[in-house]
Amino acid sequence: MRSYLLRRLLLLVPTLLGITLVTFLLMVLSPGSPTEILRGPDSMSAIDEELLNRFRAEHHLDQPVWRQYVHWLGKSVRLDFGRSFRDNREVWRLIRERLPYTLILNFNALVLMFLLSLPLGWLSALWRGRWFDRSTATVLYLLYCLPNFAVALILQILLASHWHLLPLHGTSSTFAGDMGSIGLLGDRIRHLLLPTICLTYGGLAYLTRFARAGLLDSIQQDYVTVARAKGLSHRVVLLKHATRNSLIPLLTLIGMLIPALIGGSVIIERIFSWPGIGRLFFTAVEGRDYPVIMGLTTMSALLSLGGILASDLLYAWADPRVTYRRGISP
Amino acid sequence: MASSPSRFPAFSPASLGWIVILAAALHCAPVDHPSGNDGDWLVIPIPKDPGSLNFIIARDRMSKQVARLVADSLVDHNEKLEMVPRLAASWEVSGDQKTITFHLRKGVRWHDGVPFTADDVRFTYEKIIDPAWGAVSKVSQFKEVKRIETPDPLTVRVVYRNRYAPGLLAWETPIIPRHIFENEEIGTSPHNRSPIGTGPYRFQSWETAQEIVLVANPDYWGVLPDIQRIVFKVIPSKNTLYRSLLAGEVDLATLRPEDWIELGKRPDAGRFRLLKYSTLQLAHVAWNGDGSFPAFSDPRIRRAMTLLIDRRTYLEKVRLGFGEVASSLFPANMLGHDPDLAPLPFDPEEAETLLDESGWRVDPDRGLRIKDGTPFRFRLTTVSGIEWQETFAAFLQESFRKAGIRMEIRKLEWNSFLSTRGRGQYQAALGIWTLDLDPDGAYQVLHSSMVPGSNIVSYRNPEVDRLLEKGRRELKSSDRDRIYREIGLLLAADQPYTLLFFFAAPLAIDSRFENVKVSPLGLFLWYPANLDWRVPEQKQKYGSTGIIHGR
Repeated sequence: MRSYLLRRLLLLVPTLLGITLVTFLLMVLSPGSPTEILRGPDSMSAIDEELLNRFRAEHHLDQPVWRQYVHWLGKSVRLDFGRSFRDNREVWRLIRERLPYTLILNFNALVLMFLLSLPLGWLSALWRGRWFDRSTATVLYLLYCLPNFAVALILQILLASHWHLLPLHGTSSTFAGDMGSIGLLGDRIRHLLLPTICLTYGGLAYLTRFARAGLLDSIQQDYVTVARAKGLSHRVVLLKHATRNSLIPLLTLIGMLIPALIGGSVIIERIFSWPGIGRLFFTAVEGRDYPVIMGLTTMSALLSLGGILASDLLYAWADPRVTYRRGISP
Repeated sequence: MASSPSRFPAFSPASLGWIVILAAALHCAPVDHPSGNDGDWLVIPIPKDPGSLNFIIARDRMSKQVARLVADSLVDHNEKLEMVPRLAASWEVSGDQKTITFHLRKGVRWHDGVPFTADDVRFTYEKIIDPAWGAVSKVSQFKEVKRIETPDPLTVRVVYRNRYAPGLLAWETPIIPRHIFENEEIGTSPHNRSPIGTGPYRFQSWETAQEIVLVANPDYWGVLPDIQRIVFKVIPSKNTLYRSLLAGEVDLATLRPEDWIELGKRPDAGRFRLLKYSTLQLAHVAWNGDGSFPAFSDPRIRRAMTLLIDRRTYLEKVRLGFGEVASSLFPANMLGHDPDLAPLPFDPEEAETLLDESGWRVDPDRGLRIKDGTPFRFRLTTVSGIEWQETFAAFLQESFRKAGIRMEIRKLEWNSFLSTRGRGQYQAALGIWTLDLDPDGAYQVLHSSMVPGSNIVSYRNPEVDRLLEKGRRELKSSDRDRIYREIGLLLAADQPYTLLFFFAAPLAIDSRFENVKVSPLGLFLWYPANLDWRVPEQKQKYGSTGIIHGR
């Protein structure tokens, strides 16, 4: 197990290098340049070319691409991701400022997704082929097909503009500072609801199918037959044996979920004026803010790779049949 | 086999998850709004954060808006675009017209109580020209300054190398405090995000990507504004902005023409005052004259292209009347404006004659104009996702097709568009200028020394060059006016750019505000602008505690 872990960790290094290199090349070689944001999109007034050249030299933009990359790499292995071209603040500071907002939104969405889809999936499996199964599938697929920006608009118009049930956008009300801590908390939760719904509904179809398939698979296993043969009730067999084991394949999802937690949604954050990672990334790409783009990419690459590793390890831990020892497993 | 449920994160007791959520909700720093005086608040939407609130290095529109509230400049302009005093109570120009002497206001203090003096003005100048500060957009306005003298704390004497007409306008730059910045590293100064000025509002807080809050400065040297608090709310989406205006979350918004018209028809339309004003934003087509499409080097062809475009119909049908056909680079209220200079008409027959004369004849088999075997087929570069550019490009395509000209549309994301166009890698491009208040702005886009550079069309006309050089050395307004009128006529003949239209902005503002005036610069970018606004007591919406009065 330890040598397996070591091997995987060593493999992380070239993978990470590859990801950052490809991102860097795509970014630098694509049209557009960081200096355009200094120039301004529509101004007639003069821009000092000397200063632009100084900016390029200061940020090594006048050097060959490979040297720019080596320079970036040299700094980032020391965990220095540089400063944003846009406001000259450290990249980690920008990320730290936005991360809590994205985390809370995505965490809620994920929890909600699991809370809804696991029972739905299990019930569908139990009543396979019956009306519940078929109607859940139809409804969830319909939801899956709806683009979230359209749903966001409809929800805004109905719930916020028309019925005044929920706030339209933002993280808190303009005058929230005067509400007291309980009121403030309520205000913040109310602001969370619409974006959370928009991020949740699309994933339900996928997870529900996953849970349904997992349970169907478990029910057909020998141990279930054995348990029934021992005389255990249908209920106990399902709840204690089958559902638990049907969760094991879900562990593979964790690898995908961890990066999903921190990766913001550009569209939803924009519609709901949510100050998360998605908008930070969007602004960075717009302005060709290389340090921010690279910082965010590296962070999500690290988390994705870590997530995949974690899910593989968890798998072995949860299911004794899986081992990572060399040779033939018993 | 028996594994406890807690080993599956997704299955952990829901309550635990909610505690984390609540904790995180509390962690997202609460916005602090301490009580102020009555007099109501003003909530202004902005599409994104300013890059910086160091007003010397900042360059976007959002920071300009904040700058003129928190900081002061020596001079400013009013809604008619005339120069008015601000921190300088008065100024005079020397006999040789190479020196401006500013007499500063007495008793002005920075927000931290330190007195404002001539040293702050000189410091501001020194930092603008200091390459380490990288004041990219300001430095060129101060290149002609030879030195700055401060004979006493209330006098600033600016000596220029040559006579320089736009020199005075440059002093609309916000003045920054020397005592704050002189010992700070510019890149990392905390004051880049928490400015100190002498202006009518004090900076209070900035929540990144959410809001910037300013509160009235009770010690302001000028007339104290009635509005006690100004909140800039970041709202990136146009749809959300419109809904948010209807919900009363923001007090004003520049809308899309169709939303503006819809708003006027609503039963509660009385809640808003609907304004429409002509801006200084000039849409144009740049015809690249560097030979990338040879026809565009010929002024006759460029003239024909302009004659083929029915700008009026486009404005009426597509922009719903929000715009005005442009006749020259110098709009009303500006030097060089020539009321007799009419825009080129929509005249396809005249255009076809010009095209025929210059050798581009229609090949009847293909329905396409051809000269020496080259078909008249070119590409127009535009920015994707900008509504008027999308609709106008399609409109152009159709207009030219009827005259036997094929136009392809190349849409680029805006940063790519700017750098592609800046390098001259285009044949024709749609663009927009926000005009400078001084007609010398034309120097940038027309003088031959700006090739390569901001003269993106490679326009070279020795007579225009001469007049542009003369225009910036002449200080007498009547003479300058004549010079720029002449330039206007030459450009009308040459058509290096097809000037399309000045956009009109559809604006809605909560009707509780009184004294609201607009200028071609909008609601805010002049003096005193919103400093004069007031809300009658019975209509006030936000009180000292911030609770909304029953509305």
